[in-house]
Amino acid sequence: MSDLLERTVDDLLRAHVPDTRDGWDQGLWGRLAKLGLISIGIDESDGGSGGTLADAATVVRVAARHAAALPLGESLIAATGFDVRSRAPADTWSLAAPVTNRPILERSGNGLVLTGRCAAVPWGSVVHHLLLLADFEEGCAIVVVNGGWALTRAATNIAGEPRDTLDFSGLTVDKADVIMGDEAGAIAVSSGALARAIQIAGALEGVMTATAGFISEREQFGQPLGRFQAVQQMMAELAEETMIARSAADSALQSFVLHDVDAGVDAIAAAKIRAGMAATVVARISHQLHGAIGFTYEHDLHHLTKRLWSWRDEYGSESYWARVLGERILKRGEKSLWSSIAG
Amino acid sequence: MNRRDMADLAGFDLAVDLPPEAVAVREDVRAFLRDELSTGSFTPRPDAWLSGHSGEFSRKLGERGWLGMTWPRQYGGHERGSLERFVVSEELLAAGAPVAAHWIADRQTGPLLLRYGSEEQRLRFLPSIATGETYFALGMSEPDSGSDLASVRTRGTRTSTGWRITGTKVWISHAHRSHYLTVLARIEPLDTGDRHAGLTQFVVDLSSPGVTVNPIALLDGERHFNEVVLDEVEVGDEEVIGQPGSGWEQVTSELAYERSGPERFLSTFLLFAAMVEVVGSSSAAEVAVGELWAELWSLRRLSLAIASALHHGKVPEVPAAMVKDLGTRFENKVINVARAVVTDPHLAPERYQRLLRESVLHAPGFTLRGGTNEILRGIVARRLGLR
Repeated sequence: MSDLLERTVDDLLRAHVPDTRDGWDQGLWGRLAKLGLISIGIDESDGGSGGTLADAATVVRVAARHAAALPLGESLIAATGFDVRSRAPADTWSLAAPVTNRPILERSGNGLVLTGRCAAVPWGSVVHHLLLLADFEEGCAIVVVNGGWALTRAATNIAGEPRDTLDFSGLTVDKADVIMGDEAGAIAVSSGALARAIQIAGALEGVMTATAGFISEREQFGQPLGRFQAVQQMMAELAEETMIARSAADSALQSFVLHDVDAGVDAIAAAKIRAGMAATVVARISHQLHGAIGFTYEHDLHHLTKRLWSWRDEYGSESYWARVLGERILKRGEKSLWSSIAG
Repeated sequence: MNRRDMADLAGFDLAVDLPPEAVAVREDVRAFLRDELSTGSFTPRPDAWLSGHSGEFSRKLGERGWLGMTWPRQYGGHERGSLERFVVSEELLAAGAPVAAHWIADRQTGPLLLRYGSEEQRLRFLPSIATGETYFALGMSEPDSGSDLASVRTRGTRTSTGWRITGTKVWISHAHRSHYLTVLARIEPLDTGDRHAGLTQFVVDLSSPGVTVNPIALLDGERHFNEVVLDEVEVGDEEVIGQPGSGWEQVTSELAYERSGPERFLSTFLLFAAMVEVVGSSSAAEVAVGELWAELWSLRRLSLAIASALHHGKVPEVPAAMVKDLGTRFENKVINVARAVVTDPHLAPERYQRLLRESVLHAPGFTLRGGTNEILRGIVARRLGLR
């Protein structure tokens, strides 16, 4: 099933002519929605098109391979941690999980109200629904916000994807739109990181295919660049990083679905770290092998490498997740190290 | 057409879970190791499959059915799954247990004989490999033939009863404590148009007349490696593995199978663990440890996926080469990170200092043995259609 799905999405994206306005390719979203590929991973009984989270990840990953300008990682993966997406399975969703300076949810009379802003909300100016990690009383809560925010500052990451500052002040919140629990914060941040790990895996593959193709065609000194050993060694390293990042993302997705939150967080942290490391190496090598032409706006490479450079820093960079992981590992001590790896 | 995408490079599941029987055997191995450690029967060492040679320990593993695990019962095997074998291996390596004696026989020679050997050879050698009593060493490299294995000059000459072998093999781990040597020899002169033709694998009894084993000390002063001089050593036709002339295909298949196992990224695990113990809790330590953990976790997941693919009859040669390159570079990185965060090793416990020292002294070998990393990256490049 997933091979067929992969090819279907790949064929669609290969044939699609990108048309990005106001930061996103709305036409492409519509085409994917028409094929049921947006509401994938949600039961048909809930208004979705069926399939698993792994199928949703396939859509996200293949779209990233083609640098699709869409909130797919956010909608199909990041927003799935709390079973709310079935409320509007074909709509655009995002997740904002700030580590500090969060908006505040507080009681007001008989109801709940939000105050404060959140910067760098992925696709904030585009999406209909947002899962927002807010401070609430002694802890935090996930608030499902269905629009109504003010766009304080439109901004983008270096790939041109909207990363807007939204102001939620005065928005009233329904009790049914609040999700609490000690693990809500961890699930929220992890869901975003998992989405990016999957996206990075896709973009890495796009870069790998493009770069291998380029060095097979481009000739210097009477032969294709790919015949030179120095080039081969670099290309091999690029392919290795792509392989292991993909394996890590797939494994983290599996942990997210199968295991307890703790093991899932470790796995997602590891996948995000590994994917971020791979993004850095692959972007560098691909630009080096493409030479000057790959450095231009006209050439396609930057659509992918700018995403790699952006996504590695979103929903926690390598050093953020390494600190989270490292703190847990050091606290558990030497005797637990092996079992934390192998079970 | 070479699509040069992931489906091309890895047509198998990259995220696999262990089946219940593999999870179960892990507990058995851990219990065994706890017992062994409590009696002091071994000292955990880095790079244990090179540095830890113990016939007694290998026989204990044999008794418990942890050697020849996946082989058919009629050859002394236990018909268990590859993932159970994977689990047993990784537990032993992570504990720094002395597995060197049986390592080559169990992991390479056994599968080689199952794949290409005669029935007589299987019945002759496999049962006592599986009991941990018969040890094999690898006679491949020569003084003038390292990465260019096809250039070996050891010569096999036909006789009325079999073959006569003359040549010198080098870098052979534990030849001095092994019973047999698998020897790659040339039975026909090198044909520059087809360099891989005319190579044959033989089994040579190391107690045969004409065999001389000379030690080669590594820079740490230890004697693991050997030179073996073969001076007109007589072997029978029954000592040819596979067909005369099919040596190249066999040897490359043998190498491919064993490129991606846990031994490719656990050689310095004990140092990593000791670092966790002594490093304290600064944010620099947290970041360093977290990053290493992420890399190790990722390597293991990919290695596991490849083991599962092998179990399902696939031969993921290129992903296996990738794991070896990535894993052995990781093994080196553990040393660099340890040095970066444990800033005064002289104040650390003696155990940490010993593990650091042994890891440093063994490190050059990680990226050389089993195919240098540069050669392996060339294999990846070839798969991408660049060569």
